Amino acid sequence: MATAPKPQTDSKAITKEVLLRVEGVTKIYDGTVKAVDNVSLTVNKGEIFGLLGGSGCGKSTLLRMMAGFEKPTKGKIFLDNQDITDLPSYQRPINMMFQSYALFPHLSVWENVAFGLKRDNMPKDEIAKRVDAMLTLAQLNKYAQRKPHQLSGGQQQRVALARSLAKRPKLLLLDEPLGALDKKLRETTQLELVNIIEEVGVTCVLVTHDQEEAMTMASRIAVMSEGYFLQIGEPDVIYETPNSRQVADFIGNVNMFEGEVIVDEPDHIIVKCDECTHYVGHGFTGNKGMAVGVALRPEKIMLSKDKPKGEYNWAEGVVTEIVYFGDHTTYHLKTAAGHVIKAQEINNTRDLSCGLTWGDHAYMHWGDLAMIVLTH
Amino acid sequence: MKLSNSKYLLSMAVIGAGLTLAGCGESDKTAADASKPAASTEVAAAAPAAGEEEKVLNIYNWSDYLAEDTIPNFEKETGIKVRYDIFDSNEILHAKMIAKNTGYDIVVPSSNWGKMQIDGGLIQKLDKSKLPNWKNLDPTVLAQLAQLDPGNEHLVDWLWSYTTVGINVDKVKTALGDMPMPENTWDLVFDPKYTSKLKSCGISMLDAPSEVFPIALRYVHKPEFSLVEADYKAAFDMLMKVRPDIKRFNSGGQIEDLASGNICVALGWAGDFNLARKRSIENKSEQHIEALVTKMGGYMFMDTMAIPADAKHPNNAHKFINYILEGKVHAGLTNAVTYANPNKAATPFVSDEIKNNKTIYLSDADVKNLIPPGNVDNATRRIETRLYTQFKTGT
Amino acid sequence: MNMLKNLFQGNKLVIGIPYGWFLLLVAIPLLIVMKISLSEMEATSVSNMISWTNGLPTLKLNFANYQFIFSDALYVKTYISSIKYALITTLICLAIGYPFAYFMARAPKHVQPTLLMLIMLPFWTSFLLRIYAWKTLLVSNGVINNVLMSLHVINAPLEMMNNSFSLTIGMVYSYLPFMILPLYANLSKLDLRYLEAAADLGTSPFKAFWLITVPLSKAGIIAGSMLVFIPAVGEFVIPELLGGPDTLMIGRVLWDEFFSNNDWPMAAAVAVVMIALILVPMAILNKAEAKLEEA
Repeated sequence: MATAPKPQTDSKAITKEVLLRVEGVTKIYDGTVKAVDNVSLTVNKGEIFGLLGGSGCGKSTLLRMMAGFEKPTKGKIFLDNQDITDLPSYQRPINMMFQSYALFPHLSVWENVAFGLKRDNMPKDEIAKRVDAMLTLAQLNKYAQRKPHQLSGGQQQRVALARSLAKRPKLLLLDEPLGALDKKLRETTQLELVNIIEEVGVTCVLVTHDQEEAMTMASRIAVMSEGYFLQIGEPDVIYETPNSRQVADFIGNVNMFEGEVIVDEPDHIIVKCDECTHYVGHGFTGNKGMAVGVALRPEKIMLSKDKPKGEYNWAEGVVTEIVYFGDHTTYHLKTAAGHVIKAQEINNTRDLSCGLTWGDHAYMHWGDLAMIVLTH
Repeated sequence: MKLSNSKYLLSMAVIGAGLTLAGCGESDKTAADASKPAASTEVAAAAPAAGEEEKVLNIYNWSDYLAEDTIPNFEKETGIKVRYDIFDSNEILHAKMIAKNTGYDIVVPSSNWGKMQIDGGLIQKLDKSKLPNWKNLDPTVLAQLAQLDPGNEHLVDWLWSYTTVGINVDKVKTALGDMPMPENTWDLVFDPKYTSKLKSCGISMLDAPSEVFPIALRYVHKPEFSLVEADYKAAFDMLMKVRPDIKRFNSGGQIEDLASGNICVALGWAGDFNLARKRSIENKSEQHIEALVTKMGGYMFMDTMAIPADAKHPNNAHKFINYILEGKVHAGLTNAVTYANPNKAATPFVSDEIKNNKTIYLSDADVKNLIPPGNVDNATRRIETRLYTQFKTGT
Repeated sequence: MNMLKNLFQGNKLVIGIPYGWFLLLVAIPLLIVMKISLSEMEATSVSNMISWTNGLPTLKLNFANYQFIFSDALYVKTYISSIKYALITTLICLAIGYPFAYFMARAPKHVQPTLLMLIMLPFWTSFLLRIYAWKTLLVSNGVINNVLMSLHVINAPLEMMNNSFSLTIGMVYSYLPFMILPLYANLSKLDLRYLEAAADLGTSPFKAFWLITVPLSKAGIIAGSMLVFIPAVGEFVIPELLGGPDTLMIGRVLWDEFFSNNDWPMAAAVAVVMIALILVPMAILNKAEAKLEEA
């Protein structure tokens, strides 16, 4: 029973200074609908924490409770060890960047950014200084006098960020920050966003349904479903060692083999499936005869026309689909048992790497440590 | 000139809506009609000879101004189907007449308005050979009316009354205290000595410059239908002295205001005061209302039947006028609405109560005292309206 | 046939209907009124503008009516007083109507149709009846005075009728729905996230109302105010029934010109000036707004 997948607790929290602590928070709507179900988490200072999940998983409700727009039905929220559960939103040192920005349409860019500062009765010249600094940071000086509707999507996004950062909040909440942008813009903006946030050094909680966005931006991610956390961890940990079929399935592409443990040794196990036999190079918390899922990422599979050596970790099939992405190609192979397995090959030369085409018979093989054994 | 406020306003709204369209129709025909009013009148008058008319008659009259059986009996007698519409102010009737194509065969303007319509060629001459009952008409009243309609060629009086002072007897007594009633009854509304006392119980005046000015002019010893602006200024100056004491200006609400005790003195219509009196007696109210006959004379007004120049059924219209002039029919009108009629043959049929009311059936001397119906030109009317507006606002 | 087809092609027809409507029911009548205002009144007819001499038309325009309007203080004073009462009415309607519309828009979704119905309900009764109802409430021996006197709150009846008080009440009462409805339509569309964003940036709900809700409902405020102000300026029936001799408004002066003075051209001129008084500031406002948007 060597390196078992990590449990859904928060391992790093103990070592660093905690900013936000959510304790057993539950939100029930209309007396019956449980939007958030007994959730606990901590966010450290300087961290970008991602809340990842599909629509209706409760991630937005949780964020809104942090912002103060919703009151938890049960549980407490602490900021810097101060209980803010009952503090109205306008008194919390927390700012939010809204989904599709919610920029005040009747105010100019400058006034939007200054809005929060004016509420703090800050001296005028100081407001001006701060706003100008924020606009410089977001590269918006040219557009200070424009109205939001006169800006492009990316510019609006930067105004929203500048506005939410202007007050130097202890915690910045980002609700689908890139959701309103098209794909091309999203990639550049993602990095810009992270750069600005890191430059300011603000702690963030980021809500997104896009796993790529979460992966790139967040230092830690909580995967949410039906109101509770499935797994919390660094992006690579969640990707490489998901703790359940659901997480594995949600994060990236995965081939799932259902099988039975036929050998259970401390340093390895063997799982028998329909199309192949897996030799897994680590132990697991279970026992012989147990039904398990073996998750295998497509990019971990190699293709060849020749039959691999040995009896483990290979399968055969017929190419039914070739999807060319430019930088890589995904092959769909149908096994004798009728399952479709996806394999992803990097196009590191300019001809297709293994010269496979539709209808070809091919072999797939992978390493001892390429897969994850999932018990639930 | 009966006026009930609600209907007055309703018709106002209708007129307002029709205004632009009426204006449209009118402008096209102006030239032809204005150039030869006499000719068009003759043509229309000649029309009846053309042959049998369809058995229809369209009448436009004041509201609540006839007996229940007046129309049914006429229809039974002649087989003519009557369509009877009502209006509440001369102004509305006049605007319709100007716009032309009213579709009516009989209209009932007050005589001074009728005079304007005659001058504008909007009313056709009567064919007296078709009016055998013409002989029933009281020569005194005919003579009064002839001042506006020389030779009585166009207008036939329907009923008549006069503007005067109406009071709530007990309230006026209390307000005046030991001051006796004035020699000249008009002092009650025109002399600050009296009005300043009566102010406490409420004075009301008609909201109608063309009916108040003739009296006011006579009161300041000027011609009643003067065309001199300075005369009107004199009357206006007199009026302004009592302005602070006047509580109301309204034409429609005096009956109600008097009967309910909201006001105690009114310059208004004798017929209305008698109605108010009737009503307060019927309601067993404690208010004792009386119309006064003034020695100086009130302003006589007659509501007169006339046939529009473009009437489609002038023959039937003559038949109707002749029918009304029957003594019994005319008396029926008076019995129903307490306004006097001009019909000698009607007197035997008028109820004693009305006949003996000296404020409805005036003595011959009192009739002679009245200011006969008269008229002024447009420019003078403008002065009247303008000064009255100023008088009302008190500035 | 082809032309007919073209004419009735979807697009043109759809655009044509409102334009045709406008032309037929607004532009042409207005032009006729303007034409009458430049004519002269003869005894019982309006003079013709064009006369023919030797086969040549002569156009005779009479501007005397307009000169007269500006030479007699009565008209100017009455215009000012009309605008004053219309403004007072608009402001009171706004003060009452805004919170009304606001809470309607914030009420639970399933209650809103009922509230909307309640606003419309008075329209089921004749306008005149409703004004008369106020009369019976406000007169010196009316319901309010009788109740107050029997409760010994007052000893003598309050003078609430036939003065600027009763006029204002009647006008506000009649025009309030015209303020509430556009405001409600506007406020119910307000994106609540703006208020959340304001709260997030440290704005109390009260301040957020003034900084966000009110500016964002500007279009509704303008629409409602116009719907109240414009008809209120020319109002005739309410001042006639509830107003007093000193609450003279232009509608009555127009009535006097038309009916008492029997002077249609003058009445038309009074109406044209009234329309101009309303339209010109509106056009300026519109233009300024458009410029502001462009900038």
